[in-house]
Amino acid sequence: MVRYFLQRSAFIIFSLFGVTFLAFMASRLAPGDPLRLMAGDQNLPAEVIANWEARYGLDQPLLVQYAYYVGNALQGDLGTSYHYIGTPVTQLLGPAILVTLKWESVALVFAIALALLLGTISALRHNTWVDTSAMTVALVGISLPDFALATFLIVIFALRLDWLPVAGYETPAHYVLPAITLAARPCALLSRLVRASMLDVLSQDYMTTARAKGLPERVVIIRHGLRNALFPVLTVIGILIGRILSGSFIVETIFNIPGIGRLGVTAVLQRDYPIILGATLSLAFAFLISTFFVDILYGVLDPRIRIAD
Amino acid sequence: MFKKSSFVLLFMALIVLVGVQVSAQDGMTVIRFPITSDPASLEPGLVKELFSGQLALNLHAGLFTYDAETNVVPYLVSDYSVSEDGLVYTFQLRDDALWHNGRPVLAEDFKKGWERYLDPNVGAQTAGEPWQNVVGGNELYSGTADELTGVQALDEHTLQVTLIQPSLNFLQSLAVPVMWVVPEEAVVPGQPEWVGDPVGAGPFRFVEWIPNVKVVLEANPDFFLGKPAADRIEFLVVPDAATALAQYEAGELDIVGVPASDLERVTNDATLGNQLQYFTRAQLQYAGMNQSMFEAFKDVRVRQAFNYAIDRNVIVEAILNNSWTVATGLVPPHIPEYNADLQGYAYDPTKAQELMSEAGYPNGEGFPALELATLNSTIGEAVAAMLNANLGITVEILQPERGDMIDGLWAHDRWQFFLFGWTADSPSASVWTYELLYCGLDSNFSTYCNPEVDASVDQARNATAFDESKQAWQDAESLAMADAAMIPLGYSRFIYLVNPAVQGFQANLFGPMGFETVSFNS
Repeated sequence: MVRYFLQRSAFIIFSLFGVTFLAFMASRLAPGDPLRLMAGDQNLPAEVIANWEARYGLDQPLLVQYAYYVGNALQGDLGTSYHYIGTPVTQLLGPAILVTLKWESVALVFAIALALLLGTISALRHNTWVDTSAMTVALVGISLPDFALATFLIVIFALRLDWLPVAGYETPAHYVLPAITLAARPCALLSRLVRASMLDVLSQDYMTTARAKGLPERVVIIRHGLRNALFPVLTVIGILIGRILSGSFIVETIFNIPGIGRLGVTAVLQRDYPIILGATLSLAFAFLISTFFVDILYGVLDPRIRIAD
Repeated sequence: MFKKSSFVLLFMALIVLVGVQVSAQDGMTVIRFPITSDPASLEPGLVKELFSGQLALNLHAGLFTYDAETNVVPYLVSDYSVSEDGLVYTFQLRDDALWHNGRPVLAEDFKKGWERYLDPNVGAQTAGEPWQNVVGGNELYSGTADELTGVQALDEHTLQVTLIQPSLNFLQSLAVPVMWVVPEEAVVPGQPEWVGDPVGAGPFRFVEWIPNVKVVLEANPDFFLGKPAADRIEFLVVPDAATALAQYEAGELDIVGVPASDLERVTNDATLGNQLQYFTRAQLQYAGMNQSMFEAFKDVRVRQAFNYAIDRNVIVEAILNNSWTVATGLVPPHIPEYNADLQGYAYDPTKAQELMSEAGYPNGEGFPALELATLNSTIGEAVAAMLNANLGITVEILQPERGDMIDGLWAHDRWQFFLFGWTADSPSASVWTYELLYCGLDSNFSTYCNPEVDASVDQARNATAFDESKQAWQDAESLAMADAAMIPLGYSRFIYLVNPAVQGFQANLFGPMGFETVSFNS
């Protein structure tokens, strides 16, 4: 177990290096100069530009810049923002990550819970109208892009019916529309998967055995059926968490949620390299950690896969 | 493992995590105004975009300011005099003005503040230009002196500024926030840029800045012109224009800018149509023809043909829903040197074709392939289509990223033909007629050069009487128009939706004014 843990940690650290390296090079090789944007539309005197370049280390070769970045990052210093003059990146990332965690965990729980419910019911009522309508809804969910669904929800629930706020993040009511938007696609995908997996499990011999033991149907379905059906689903949930995290870029911009996604988008437009890197690093970290936990969960669900030393 | 109870617990935990944080705004009047990105700084000297500028107008105060008609009016100054030779300005400061920390505003504060802006490490936006004409400015900026000798505090409330040459624009430059200062004690020691809580002398005091979320200001009870009517101003960061508009429609914002794409719907909406307010903006939208990059643009007939071949009315009405007005010259209306008599180039494809034939390109034959760089592809496509239909030439659209576009413009070596907007930081013809056209100037992105135009510009810049200067500016503009130095397309406007309960919202040529005149009438 300890060895496995160490191996995975090493893998995570190695991946983070790779991610920061790619993001670092990509953002610097893209056209557009942060100092130009800092200067507004003005043509700054060469001395001022040189001063700024020296201060932010932009006059060094790229690899040296990267080495400095990694060295400082290992000490918890992700640099200071270019746009928010003098403000440390960590001070900007921290609150943004908290906001994103809050509303996205709502979306994730919502997506998973609804998918389990819809998928299971569809499987149990296989080939009835319940199954057909649930899967039609799922198909629509998969096909609809985030921005279209978001606009639709805003027009209906915020502007026409006036039930919910358009944008912001102050109250739980603000989370409803973005959470539905973000949850729709993963939920649709997942519910189809749960259904397929459940159908497979339902025809297994051990289900018949469970029923023959006289267990109540609820227990048969949940403990023996769903638990086994969850298995392939779990792998996908790990990937979905990653997709949900990256989905935050669009949804947070539309619903004006000051989370990591919106911060990242703004930083890209402003060529704020330190924030772009910080945001990329946090998202990559979250993705790696979530897949790590999914792997651990395998063991919890199926003792046969428990990691041996 | 996955028991029902764990799900319930998880849900409950999430609800607690989400929390209930309804901001109680008991009886306070709060004006909610969206900004598309955080201000880069809350210091007036570092203002470099619209929003920093707008915040500066609310937080800070300077010697002079601009009123709603964009006239320079005294602000922290109660009285001033200019010596007969026009070189020495003596300002009497108000004795009732206090910084937000309670200390009186003193003449010495301006001397120290300006000296700090001339430290290249501060990155102040004014560093350079306005100081070239103040005694000692160049020396301090280049590091050969450590004092701004041309600025002296004669006593607590008397400030004297000595210029090198008389200038008609000196007071104008003092009315822009970049020339306003902050008290020395508010600057964080050891940090060239100021990142502490902003301290100003303006109508509103700083409450909080949550990056990415909002900047909150509250009425300053000690403001020297009296406490503002609104208790609080919330500048909410809303990057997406469509979201901001929807928030306004749902009552979550009190004032919002209207994007051109939504203007038609908003205008035709029974309720929203009545809440629209238009303000003239000092911004020229133009197409530049870079002569050093594209040989054919050196021929005046080609430049004139391009001017005649573009139907500005179609662009302004059909594409932009009248969010611009058609440009007839270089200098926008309401600028003192504006020339109402200029007719501009009417849409005349026949004349355009004749000129192209004379220049040796009948029906566009033999005209080299041309690239048009633009940040707005819709207008770019329209311009390209008109040139293609009327002159038979092929124009390829390039859509660079904004920073890249601006880099290329300053470098003069990337864009043959470009669409760009040039915005005033002072209400003077100099912004367009000098900055965009003077031979060899960096901001002359078209690399246009006409000694006749330059002679008039020189005359205007050196004039000591306003009428003489105005006449010379107008002469230079007329010459440049006849010579088709560029293709003026339109003058932009500020278009806002304003909640009917909000009274007194004003914008001048530079944008929304400070909110001290705004009240909430519920």
